[in-house]
Amino acid sequence: MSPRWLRNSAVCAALATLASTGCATTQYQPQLAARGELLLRYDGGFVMQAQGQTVARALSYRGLDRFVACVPEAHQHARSAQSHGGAAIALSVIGVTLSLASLGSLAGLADTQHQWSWLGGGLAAGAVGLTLSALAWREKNQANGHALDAMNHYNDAVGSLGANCQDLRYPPAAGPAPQATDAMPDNLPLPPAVSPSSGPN
Amino acid sequence: MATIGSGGCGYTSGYVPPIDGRARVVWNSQDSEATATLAGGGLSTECQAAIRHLTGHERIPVDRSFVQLPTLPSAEPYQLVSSYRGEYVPRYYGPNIIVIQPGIAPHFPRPPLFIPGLGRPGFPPPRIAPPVAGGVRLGSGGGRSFGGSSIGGGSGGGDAGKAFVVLAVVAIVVMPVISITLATVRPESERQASQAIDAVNAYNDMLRNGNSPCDPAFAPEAGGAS
Repeated sequence: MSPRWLRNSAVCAALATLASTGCATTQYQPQLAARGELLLRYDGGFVMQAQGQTVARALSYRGLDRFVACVPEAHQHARSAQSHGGAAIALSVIGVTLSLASLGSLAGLADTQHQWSWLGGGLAAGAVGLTLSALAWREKNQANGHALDAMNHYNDAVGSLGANCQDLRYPPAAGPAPQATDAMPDNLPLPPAVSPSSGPN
Repeated sequence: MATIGSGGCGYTSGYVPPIDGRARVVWNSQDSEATATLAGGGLSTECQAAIRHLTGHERIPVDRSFVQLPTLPSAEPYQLVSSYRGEYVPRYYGPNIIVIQPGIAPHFPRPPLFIPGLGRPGFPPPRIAPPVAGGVRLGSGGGRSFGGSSIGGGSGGGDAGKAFVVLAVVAIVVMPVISITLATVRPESERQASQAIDAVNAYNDMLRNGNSPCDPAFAPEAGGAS
């Protein structure tokens, strides 16, 4: 088991793992978007768009906090998404760097005098690198979750209603919302007739 | 690694979508994946077939399960009306929205409705047509899992030193592989996220376009609940 063979095996295994994960992107292009509405796309990560322009994308989500600034809850989630995304990127880079550096300790196989110093250092570096990468995984989840929450809070209050934070003007309502106990207004469409013979769908 | 294995690395979302008839992509805290929620809208068989036609996907990930989308050869493919393309002015039902504090979006005690009937009790009947081919539980195909390598075993006699060296070398080689994988691979299922996003976008487009098989007021079917 030569060091060269081990190193090549590690690289091949890593590439095979990456290749096997595959990638999927969204296929459907939304046609009817309200002014200011944040739309989601997936292209190697979550991508948020408004009016055809990319507002923010995973993992950094840079720019999302400014776009949703008029909705306090969305703004808070957006800032969290950005901080977790930044942490994920930093932890990933440091983790991978340490892990790859640990492979250098295999040189200790040729240095029988200090073999355990080499291998011990490699094990320690590898363990720290692995831990940081695991933490990066967690940060990615946090960033994505906060970003989706920010988008939903923003769209609920502003985007889906035809406004945006730069121009916070809403179009007029199409009609009153029916009260739960009120009679049905005349200008609203009737609910579908449910015949007893129709089966469940 | 134990933290990841126990699922403690996810994000717990406190977001509760209002029942207003607009579909959304939400974060499913249980498995840390993006899923679709219809927020009160219906999902008749015709609606499912139209979503499949528009998106090309075979299923929609919803809360902790999937809805298998059928193909209905007899159904006419749903088409978006071309005159609506461009800037869309949303139709919402409720009081007119007035901004009280400039630069801050108002808070809604009751969310504006995109499907007007949602305010009435019992309308629309909550319904998702039963999947034609049966639902699939999450975790069987949508997600990914990573198995850690097991480094163990004992050694005996004078070979203990060599065995430890081999173990150390194996660990040093394996740890970077896992580390690179964790650092570079997305934690979410790309396929599931794409399916949820496409379904939500297509569903909202159909509702906004009008005369949609997904609109509870126009769908030919009624009744049924999942």
